[in-house]
Amino acid sequence: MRFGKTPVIVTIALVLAVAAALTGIYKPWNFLRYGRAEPPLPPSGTELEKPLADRIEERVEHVRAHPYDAKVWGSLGETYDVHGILTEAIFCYERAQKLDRKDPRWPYLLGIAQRIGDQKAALACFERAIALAPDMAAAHFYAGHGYLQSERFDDSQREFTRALELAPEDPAALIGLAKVSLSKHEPKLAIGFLERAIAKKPATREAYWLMASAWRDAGDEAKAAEYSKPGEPPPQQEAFADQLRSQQLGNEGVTLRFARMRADVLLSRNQSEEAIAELTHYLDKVPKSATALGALGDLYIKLDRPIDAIPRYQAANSIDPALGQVLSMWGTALYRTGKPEEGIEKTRQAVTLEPMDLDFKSNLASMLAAQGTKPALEEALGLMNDVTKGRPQDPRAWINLAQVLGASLKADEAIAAFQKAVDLAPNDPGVRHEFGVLCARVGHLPEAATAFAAVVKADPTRLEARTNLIHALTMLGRQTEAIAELRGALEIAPKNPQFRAQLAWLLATSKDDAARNGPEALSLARELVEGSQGKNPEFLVIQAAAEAESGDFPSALLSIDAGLEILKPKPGGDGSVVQDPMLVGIIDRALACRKVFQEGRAYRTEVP
Amino acid sequence: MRLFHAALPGLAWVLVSSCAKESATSKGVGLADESAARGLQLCAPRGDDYFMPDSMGPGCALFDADGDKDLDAFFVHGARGADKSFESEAGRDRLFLQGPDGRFSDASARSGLDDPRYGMGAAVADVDSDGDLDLFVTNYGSSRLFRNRGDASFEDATESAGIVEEGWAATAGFFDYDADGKPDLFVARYLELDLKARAVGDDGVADYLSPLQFPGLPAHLWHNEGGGKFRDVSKEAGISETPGRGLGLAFLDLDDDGRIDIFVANDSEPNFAWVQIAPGRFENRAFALGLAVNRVGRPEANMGVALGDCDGDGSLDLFVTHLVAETNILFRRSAKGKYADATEGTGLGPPSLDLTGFGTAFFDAENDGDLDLAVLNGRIMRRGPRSVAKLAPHWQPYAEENQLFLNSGAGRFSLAAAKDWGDWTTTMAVGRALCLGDVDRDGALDLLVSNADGSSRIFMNRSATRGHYLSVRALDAAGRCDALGATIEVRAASQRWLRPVTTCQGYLSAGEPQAHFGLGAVTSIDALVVHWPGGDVETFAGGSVDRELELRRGSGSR
Repeated sequence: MRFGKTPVIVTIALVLAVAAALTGIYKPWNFLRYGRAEPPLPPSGTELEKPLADRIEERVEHVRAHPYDAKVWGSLGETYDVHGILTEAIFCYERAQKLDRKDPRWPYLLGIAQRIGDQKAALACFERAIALAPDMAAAHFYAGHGYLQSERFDDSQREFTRALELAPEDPAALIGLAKVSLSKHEPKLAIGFLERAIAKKPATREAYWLMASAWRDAGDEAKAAEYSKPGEPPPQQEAFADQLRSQQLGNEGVTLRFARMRADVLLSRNQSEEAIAELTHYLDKVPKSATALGALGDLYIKLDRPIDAIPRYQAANSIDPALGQVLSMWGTALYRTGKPEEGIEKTRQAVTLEPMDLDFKSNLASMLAAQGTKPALEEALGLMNDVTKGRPQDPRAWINLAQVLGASLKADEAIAAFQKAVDLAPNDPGVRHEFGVLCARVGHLPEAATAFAAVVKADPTRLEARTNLIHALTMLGRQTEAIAELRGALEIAPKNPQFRAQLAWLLATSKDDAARNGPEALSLARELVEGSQGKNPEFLVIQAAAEAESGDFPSALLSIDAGLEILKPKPGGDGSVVQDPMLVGIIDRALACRKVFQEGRAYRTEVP
Repeated sequence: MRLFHAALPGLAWVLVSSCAKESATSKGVGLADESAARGLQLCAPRGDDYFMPDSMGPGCALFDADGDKDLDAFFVHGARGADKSFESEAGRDRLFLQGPDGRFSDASARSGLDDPRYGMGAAVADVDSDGDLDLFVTNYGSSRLFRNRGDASFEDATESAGIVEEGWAATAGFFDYDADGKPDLFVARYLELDLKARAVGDDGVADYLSPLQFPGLPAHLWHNEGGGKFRDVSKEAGISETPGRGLGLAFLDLDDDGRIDIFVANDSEPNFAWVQIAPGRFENRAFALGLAVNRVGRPEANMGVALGDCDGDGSLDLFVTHLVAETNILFRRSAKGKYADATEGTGLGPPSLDLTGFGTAFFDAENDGDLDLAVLNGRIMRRGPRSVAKLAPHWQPYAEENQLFLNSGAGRFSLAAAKDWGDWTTTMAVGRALCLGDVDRDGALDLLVSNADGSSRIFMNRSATRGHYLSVRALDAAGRCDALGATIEVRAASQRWLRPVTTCQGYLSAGEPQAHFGLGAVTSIDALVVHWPGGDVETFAGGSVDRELELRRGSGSR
């Protein structure tokens, strides 16, 4: 037995020796197999935020400690990738791919990083990723895009189709297939894919944009116009729902930029508390970041919580008093919490700190203009003149100047300034509409009507502008045009009682013989009266006018009396008799109607 | 000086031999970089502080500035002063006159063209009908019109001409839209830049700003009233209310009605096709004509424009360069009078995917009768370090190679090989503006280039195989003004060649007004047909080739 122990000991010794040898040669073996590579450092001159610098340092050390571990290299690559330091990311992914040829993540992420600048290499990467993971939907999607750009339409169609199988009804994949169809001159097929994309995600602008293109290719300009308005900015490309990439962004985005970006995304989903938590979490890591505190303040302003913004701006200012933006926003927050004097003071400090900043000047001017005092208005005018000099092409600057001029009772100058804004942004219906309102307020009705008409022409669905246009036209006595606008409005909002009532009234009472149409007015008025169960006096007066226009004066008098009965002053709770001031105008109109009906004449609307 | 020559005798020899005449040593190297030998290897440094306009220009022009019948070179230069002002010594434009030996000498100071404003591009035409070429320089700021006194001395005539052109003007060009014989001016304008916008991301990596965050500007059209006066007719022309980030530009009759129309390449927006629907009245019909977006309906970052009949079908096609990850596009005219993205299968698309194209031009590199295509590339988004000799470190990550696409004859192209086309294909630079002209009057078109780093290069055409040619100028009845906007058709037996008459070269640049025809083996032509602005057509007698011709309006047969 003693003798027999010898082989066991020898075996154990041999095993240990082999293990030791293997351990010893592990590194040299890897060296021979993969070569040696130093982890890349950020390019010189890159000013990194501290959390990112720390993350990179930590990951570089990790790579140095485990130079042949693919995951460790891949993680460093991801950190670089997410923050746009792509050359270094590509180096890391290539290394990770070399160390582990079975993990599909590395060729996939390498492909993503190379998509801009080396399409051919990127496509090869996606092909490798697909070979390793045939169910990786995103790889199929991006391969589809790569093939599309390389004019390999059949390959592209195959990959988009596969992506769609793996991610059913994904709008981006459907749009990809639509693009292939458009490239193959098959617009009808493209329309089918786009209809599905829109059904899945009605908010996808790219699908609408491409739909216009597809209809145009199909030779139907009218259909195309339904999907794309002239001057509409082109949409972003629809993003493919890529879990891996989203996860990567979530894990690796350690800078304030990413915290802000995520907060904005959450905000757009109405997850305001989560948005706040994003920035708060960043501040836990970098509590002394004045910029981050300012960003949190800005977020509270966006959430209409200026009271919560103030302490953040205050804290940011105590860390870095030279941040004009923080001071300016602090001023805004104070102003919005009912402290105009303090708001003005802070904003003035921002202007003093950065006298060339026109946004600060513009903010200060708006606050001062709202004060309404002569010195404040004069100062506001000076500031806004500076802004328009500095930004002569900025329509908003001219609008602000116009508003200050308007507040200073300089109507003609205000209109001239606003006209400048309109000239600069002729396609902006909002600017034109504001211009129209200003013109109307200062009594320039023809200009107001022109402005409102331009808005309606650009966007016929804008009822607010249409209402103002009708009002302006009526005030100007241009009843035929007003009637035409009312008909247009009713095409868009056929049930709108206000438009129906106005149309009926003008059809019954217009001074323009050609414009009047008693039967149509009567039909409209009866519907209105029935709809209100005879309780709306205004509708009864309109019905009366229509009946008179149709020659039925007895009915007209009955209707008008019914209306006047409702309009009679009602006794108040204390026994006094009160008249609703809103109804006085209708009473006057009813009485005037009654008088002419009794004389056997129809009523005619006078120009105000 | 003595020591310099003593130390570098070889250099002196190269200078003399290559400029005195066509260098035997450079024969067969395609487009040879002869910048140093010709005195045009300039480098006027530009800013390295990521100021967006630095990344978009500057432009250049090749035109006869001194009336001696050879081409001179003008370089726009945009550079801010140390105090970030937009007028500075560093930003002066420069004029180089070509001497009899083919060398260019700096005549900037006495020319009056050494304007210190921040420059973008150049446009050339005889605006006052006095027989010499005048110059319009687009600036970031106040653009200027310089009137030529005839001897390469220029006077700033902006105010007297009534031109007020402020903001960021990009490519400008002259064309006679109303066919009154006087060149009118169109100015494509880029965007409303917020000078406060940060060029450094939160991740600390600096780069140039994206145009997407800034609104575009409407273009301006200036009518030449005669007597050196211009009038802003943008509003009545119907173009003043449509802003766009205009960069590239071409003039052509898009709808065959005899009236000249305008194509504007917009950055990251649909292009404009301003069709002259009535005299002096334009309407953007880019979508209807198929010129707005690419084949899948998406707008791209449209930059430079090349104009030419690349497939020999008798209609002008448009080629537009784009950003990296987008293919450059060839818009080809179809039989139905519309255009379509016909890039697929031409060989022009995939090779452009990884590059950012700017200046581009159709030209017959070999005079074999079909139009080849030159493309200047250079990034606007930094991507990884690159070591490029002769480039300042700031610009190295933006450098890309130029491309030359050779036409098979039927509108299919292949990338030219470096062994045949030499320096053009091997040069790494941040290319921007490109203009064509026969600098040495040898019948082949040469290329002048200006780069974003402030450097310039001239590539002389030394192609090994070269066919016959014709250089044709279409002039008004008095023989003074070029008919900008006309097209010239050369006919020989069953063959037809169509070329536009234009000085506008697509992206911030201007060239000579001659239409250049490569004719291959054809030694005699039957006729020349000129389609004048306004729709008149005249036929002129043909004759021998390898010469320069001038055709005067009214002297042909109708």
